[in-house]
Amino acid sequence: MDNAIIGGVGIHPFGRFDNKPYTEIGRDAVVMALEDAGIEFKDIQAAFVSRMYLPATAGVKTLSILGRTAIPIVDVEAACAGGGACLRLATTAINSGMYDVVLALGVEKMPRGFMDPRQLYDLWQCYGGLTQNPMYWAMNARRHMHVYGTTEEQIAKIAYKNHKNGVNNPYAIYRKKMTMEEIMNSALVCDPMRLFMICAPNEGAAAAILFSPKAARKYTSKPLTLAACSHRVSAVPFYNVAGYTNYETGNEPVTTTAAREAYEKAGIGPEDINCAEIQDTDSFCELEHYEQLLFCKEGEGGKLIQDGVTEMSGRLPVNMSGGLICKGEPVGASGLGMVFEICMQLRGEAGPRQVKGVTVGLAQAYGSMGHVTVTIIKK
Amino acid sequence: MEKDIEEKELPFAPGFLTEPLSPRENVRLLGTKCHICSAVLLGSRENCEACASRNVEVIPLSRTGKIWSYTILRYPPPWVFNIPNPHQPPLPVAWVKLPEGVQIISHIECAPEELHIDLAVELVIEKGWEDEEGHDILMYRFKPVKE
Repeated sequence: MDNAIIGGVGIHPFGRFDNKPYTEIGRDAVVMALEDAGIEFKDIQAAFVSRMYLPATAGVKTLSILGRTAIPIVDVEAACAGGGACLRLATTAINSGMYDVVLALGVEKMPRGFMDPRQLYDLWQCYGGLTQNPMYWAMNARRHMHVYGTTEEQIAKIAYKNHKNGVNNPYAIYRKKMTMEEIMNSALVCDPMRLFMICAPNEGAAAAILFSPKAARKYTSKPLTLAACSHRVSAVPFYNVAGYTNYETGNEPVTTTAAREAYEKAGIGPEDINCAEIQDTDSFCELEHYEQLLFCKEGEGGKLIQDGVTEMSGRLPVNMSGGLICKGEPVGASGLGMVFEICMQLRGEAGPRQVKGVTVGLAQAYGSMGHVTVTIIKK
Repeated sequence: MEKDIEEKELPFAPGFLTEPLSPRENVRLLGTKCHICSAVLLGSRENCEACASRNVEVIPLSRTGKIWSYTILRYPPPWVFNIPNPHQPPLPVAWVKLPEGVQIISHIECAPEELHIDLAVELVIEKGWEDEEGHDILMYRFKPVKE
């Protein structure tokens, strides 16, 4: 089966846009992607729209602004990995041979403050006070520190790196460089995780237009190959949002399962990745994902950041965009936001964030209840 | 009189606590043990969540275990109900591992500075909140085992 081609990408900045409805936020990302791909909306034959906190049929409501063209439009939800899950469905639609031009859109407008826990948790967990999402990340960090000697400084350094990178991203909400002291002295949220190590929910959109090889020859002069797009949901155990019980079965982490599948499909290994956008809901989980994506051995994630490997100047830059820590996390859109950044890097259009000589990039999204997507894109 | 007490109290969810609910010190958490993959998980189930087998058995779980990892909530957990939030920081939370191997997320009734990995803890069943019909809802948490 031939790979789908990414013909165009678009983004609406991630931030807060009180007077702008989600439909217009989503529309703007689609218009940018259409112009990038050199097509018009009427050329789209099917659309998948990722969102989590929007009402039913949000995809139709968003796209009907651009025209009711009688195409199938499906809303997709896979928590924070929704953007990747949506892209995978679009890929499947192309690879099935049914369609030549398919849109994947992620759009989100999240409420301010704490999200209503009933969206993710059972009622008893809500009443029981067991619904503060960062507690999961904090306990993962604490366990890792205990077993591998990972330090708070190493965890903070990832936040420092991402804040530094985010300064150069016009699509990010937070664009202020921070010192290690500011990060390590910021308010404790759930020990050892602190405020400036954690991402915030917000609003935004990102889109990708996929072509069959045939359509790519017709429309685009700058094709990128979607070499792999895998979506897995964790087996037991998973130490992540909304879970309440586990058992150490010996199963590998779901990110590793998804990554192995993606590497195999793309015919490459982790050593071939030139740069990556990976889930940094908090700065510790970026560290853990280094290991689970097989960028380094288990327990060596702290050393990877300490040695500067994932800095802009390192061998494998990670979160050139500033990550979710700087962009914020509009959960339905964030996965496609990562794909947008990787496409910019592959085309050499990332401006001050550009990594030199990128030919293969990876995007990984991780969501509650164990959703993971790993996407590999090649020049 | 005893019947009135029983009717006034309900478990936090069906299939999670042994009955009767009184006396509380005899109540235990229920788990599901898989006879195929040997996983044990909290709550009564018909399928093993770890391997999808149906060859499972509901068992009462040990009352004591050890902290596998922990944190301290520095802000109150989200609250969307019309009763005051009983969960006020600093609030210790842990993954507790019982001898059966099952891990359970739980509040820990202790001072934050007492927390450490491998701390021995025991089950406490107490009123967690009151539902809209005025039932006392029994909830679990763990506290350090006193020497």
